[in-house]
Amino acid sequence: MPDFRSDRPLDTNLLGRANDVLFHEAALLDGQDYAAWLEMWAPDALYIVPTAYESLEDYSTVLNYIHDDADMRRRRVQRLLSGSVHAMTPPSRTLRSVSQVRLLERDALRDEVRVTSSLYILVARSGTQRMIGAQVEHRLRLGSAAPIAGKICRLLDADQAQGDLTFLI
Amino acid sequence: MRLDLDSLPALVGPDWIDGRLYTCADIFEREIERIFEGGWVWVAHESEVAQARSFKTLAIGRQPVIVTRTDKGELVTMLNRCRHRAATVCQAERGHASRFVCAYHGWSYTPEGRLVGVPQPEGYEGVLDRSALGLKTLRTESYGGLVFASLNDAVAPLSDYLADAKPWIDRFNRQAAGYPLVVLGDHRFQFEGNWKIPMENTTDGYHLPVVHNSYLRFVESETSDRLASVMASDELYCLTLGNGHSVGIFDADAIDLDLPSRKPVPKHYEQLARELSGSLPTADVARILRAVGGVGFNLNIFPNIALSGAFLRELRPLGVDRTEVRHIALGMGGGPAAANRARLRIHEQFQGPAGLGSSDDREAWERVARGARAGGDMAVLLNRGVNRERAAGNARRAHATDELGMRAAYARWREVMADA
Ligand code: FES
Ligand SMILES: [Fe+2]
Repeated sequence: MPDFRSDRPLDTNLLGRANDVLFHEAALLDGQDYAAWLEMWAPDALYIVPTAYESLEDYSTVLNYIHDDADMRRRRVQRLLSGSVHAMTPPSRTLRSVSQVRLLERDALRDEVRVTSSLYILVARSGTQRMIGAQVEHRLRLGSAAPIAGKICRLLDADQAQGDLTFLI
Repeated sequence: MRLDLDSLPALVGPDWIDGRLYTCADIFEREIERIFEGGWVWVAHESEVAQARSFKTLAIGRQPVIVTRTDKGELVTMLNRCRHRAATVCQAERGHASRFVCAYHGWSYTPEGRLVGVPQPEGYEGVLDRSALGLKTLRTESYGGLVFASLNDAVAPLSDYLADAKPWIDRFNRQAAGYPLVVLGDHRFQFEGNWKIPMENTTDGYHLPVVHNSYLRFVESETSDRLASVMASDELYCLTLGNGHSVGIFDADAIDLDLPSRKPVPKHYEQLARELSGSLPTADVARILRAVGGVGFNLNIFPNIALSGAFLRELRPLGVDRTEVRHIALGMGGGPAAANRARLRIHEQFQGPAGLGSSDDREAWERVARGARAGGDMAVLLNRGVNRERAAGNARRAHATDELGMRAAYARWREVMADA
């Protein structure tokens, strides 16, 4: 596990540290290590996968595919770990590629950065492979052991009919 | 798979169907013709086309249509097909338009479908009768906010078609707690399988503890306890409603939300109760809390719309083995934001491609479709509860976990499909 609390000076290598978090998160999800993934989240963070591609200020007043607070995230993960999820029997295998990582904002006071990235997920299951693309925005607390303070995944085809998304975006 | 369509009546028994009903492309073609293009099909909720000049596009069977609201407030459904050389005149899925302008040669139409503009009209003098060249309008009727259209001009009135489903639609609408029920958004997903598989699912109480085992154990343990008693309870029943419609009760306490509940307000609504109490009188808060979780029944309206607890399920047949499902979230139009937020979160929890319930339904349906490729004409059994089904007035009644709703839907299917 990379050390997100490293004392590298923030302003010289913020991007590198953000990359560490994003790549680690992708690796955990690809490895279906949902328990470790859950630990990466700050308790006040929201995990959102909207049903529209366009960005919104407030996703709480619209319908999303996923709009999880800490409690819902925990339930989601417990269910995934139960081994009795039909949609994951057999499991979807995923391969994620995170690119175009850009630092948008830095909130020095909260030691928080806003980062966007392009995410491609290749999903293999039951003899078919498909590709999912998303624009992802993370809020990251790089000084924390639970660095993900918020995540919004805008699927490229959010307004179109989806296949199964149980494996998480 | 090829099949002699004259043998169709023999493929549906009183309590079974031939597995080829899921897999035969010829049967699917006839379903599109007879069921989707020959009868009433749900096309919109009124709230989706609430304002004058708003529109929504979709397909009835395979035919693209536009549903619009005219300046007079009427709902119109018309073919999305230019009367010149057939191009679709509206490309957006929804929006507002005072004119539908065909981008090929520029003919333009009003929201009522009237042809009002033809560029460079000189070549058409004495040739075009504009008044006869409006967009082709379809029979459109609505009940309780549900808008249906039919490509068949001779179809019986919607009110007759809905038959005994109407009072259940009224009961369903009570979950808006006195506000108008409105669409808040939808979850769209596809699966590889026939549209009738999810149609059956709407009144399938039998699958709940099995398919949704992981949901009930890890997400919603309160419901889980309730469900254990559900399976045995006599209060829970399935009822036929005529013309293939049926209703399955899964919570007898939430059939009529205008009546007081026999149960305490569930714990997970405490937060909402506090939020509402700040701005609303106690009686209103109580009414909203009573309604916010939706009704305790699933109403299946043959062929393509279900009023299911707190949401609508729309089925869009795309091919014999491909179906799009939309789980449409509903809320209280103009109601308290906190109540609508609660409804959205409830919907997200279970429904849709990432929902903790729907994803397992979807998987089960794909397995049915895959399994049905084996065995050719082997039967799919729909006989659960045949031994305890009984008459209830004009209707038939059985336990909520019985397959009565499916038997009713397929009896209707047989009637429509087998007619010479
Ligand atoms: S096809 Fe529409 S104007 Fe020619
Ligand atoms: Fe289900």
